[in-house]
Amino acid sequence: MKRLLRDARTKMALVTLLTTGAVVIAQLGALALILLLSLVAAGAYGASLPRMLRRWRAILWLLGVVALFQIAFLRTGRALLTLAGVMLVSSDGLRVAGQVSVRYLIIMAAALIMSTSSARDVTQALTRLRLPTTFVFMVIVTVQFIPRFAQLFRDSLAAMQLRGLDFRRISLIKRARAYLYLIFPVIAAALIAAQDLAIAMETRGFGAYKKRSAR
Amino acid sequence: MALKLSKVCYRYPESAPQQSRAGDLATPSPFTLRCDSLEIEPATMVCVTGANGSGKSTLSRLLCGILTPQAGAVLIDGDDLTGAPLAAFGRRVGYVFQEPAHQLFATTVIEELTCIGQLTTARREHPCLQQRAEALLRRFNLSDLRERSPQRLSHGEQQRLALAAVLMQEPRYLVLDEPSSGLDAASVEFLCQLLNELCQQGAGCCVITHDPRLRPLCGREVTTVAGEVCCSTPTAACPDKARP
Repeated sequence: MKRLLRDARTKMALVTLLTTGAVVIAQLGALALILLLSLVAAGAYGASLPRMLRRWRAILWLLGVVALFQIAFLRTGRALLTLAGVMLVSSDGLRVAGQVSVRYLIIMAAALIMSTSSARDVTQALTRLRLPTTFVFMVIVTVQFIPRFAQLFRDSLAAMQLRGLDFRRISLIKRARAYLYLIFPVIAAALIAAQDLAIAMETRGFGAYKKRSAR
Repeated sequence: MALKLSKVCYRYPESAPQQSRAGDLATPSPFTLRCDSLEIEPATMVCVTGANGSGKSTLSRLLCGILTPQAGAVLIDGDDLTGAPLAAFGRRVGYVFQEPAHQLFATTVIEELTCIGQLTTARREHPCLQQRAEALLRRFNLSDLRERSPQRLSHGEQQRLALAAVLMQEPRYLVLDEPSSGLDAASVEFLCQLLNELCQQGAGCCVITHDPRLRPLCGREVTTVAGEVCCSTPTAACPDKARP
C-alpha cells in the first residue's frame, strides 16, 4: 500500500484530480478545501512547505499583485468598501481575486507533490502508462533542460551585474533593454542544445525502426 | 590592499528530498566549502587547483560575490563587501565563467563590449566607451570579427571576448574559472601572455585551473580538497601529493 501511494503514477493521478478540481470548481470554499488537501498531500510526500514559500516568494508576490488588480478593477456585485461614493472593493472583485489566487496555489502545491519524485521515476511512470515514446522523450528532455537553462539565466544575470550593471539604478527603459539582452543567450543556448540533441539522437538511431527494441 | 576571504563558510541549500527505489525519502547532504584565509594581492597571480567537485568553482563564485557566505567575510581592499550587490563587486572584480557563452549577450562582438557601459553611463561618455572597446578588440585580435555574433564564434574566440568584455570595467582583480579549457596551444600561449601583462599592470588574478601550462605563471597555489581550502603555498614549494 505504501509503495502504491509513493508510486509516481499515483502522484500523477492525484495531481490530475486536484488540478482538474481547481479549474472546474468555482466555489471559493470548495477551492480552499482542495488547496488544504493538496498541501496535506505535499506534506505527506515529504515536501517542505517553508522551503516552498522561500523559493516561490517572487511568485507569491506576483499572485498578490494579480489579486489586487482583480479587486481594484472588478466593480460588479455588492459594494463592500466605498470612498466618496466610489466603489473601491466589490464582492465580485474579492471573490474572483480569491478564486484566482487559490487556483494558482493549488497548481503550485501540485507541482510540489510531483517534485518529490525523481525525473527518472516520472519518465518510467509515463512509459508504464503506455504513452507514446516520442511524448515521453519530450518530457524527459524538457525536465532535464529546465535546470540547465535556469542556471544559464542565473549566470547571465550575474555576469551582467558583475560588469557593473545595477538594476535598481537604471531607468525602466534601460532595465527592459537589459532583460532583452538576458533572454538572448538563453534562446541561443536552447536552439543550439536542440540542434545538438537532434543530431545525437539520429546518430543513435532514434526512430529509425517502427518497432522499438525496448519499452 | 587585497581581495580577501576571511573565515568563510558556504553551504549550498539542501535540495528537495528524493524518493529512493525502496520508497524512502532521502535528502542529499549539501556541499560545504570552508576557507580560513585566502588573499589575492594586486599584481600577483594565484592558481586554485583541486579535484573535480572539490569546491574550486564555489571558491571562485565566493570571491566575486555570486555566492554569499553564511559565515565569514569577503573583503576588497579593506572594505567588507559580504552580501553586497553584485554590481558593487563588479566595479572591482572581473569574473570570467568557465563557459564563456554564459556571459555573452549582445548581437555583435563590438556591441558585447559596449552594451553594459551604454546602459550604465551617460550618452556623452559613449564615444569614450567606443574607443576603449576598439582598443580591446585590437589587443585581443578580435577586430576582424567585430560585426559577428558572439554566439557564432569559436570557443577560443568567445573566451577572449568574454575576457575583453570584463576588462572594459578595468577591474582591480580578476577571477578566471578554467580559462584554458577547450583552448588550443596557441590560444593558451596568448592567454598566458595576456595574464602576465595584466599582472604586470597591477591586476590581482585568481586562476582556477587543471592546466599545468598555467601553473608556472602563478606565484602561489591554493588547493581545495573536499570543500577545504587546505594549501596555500608558493608554486615551487607546493607538495605534489596535495595536487590533483
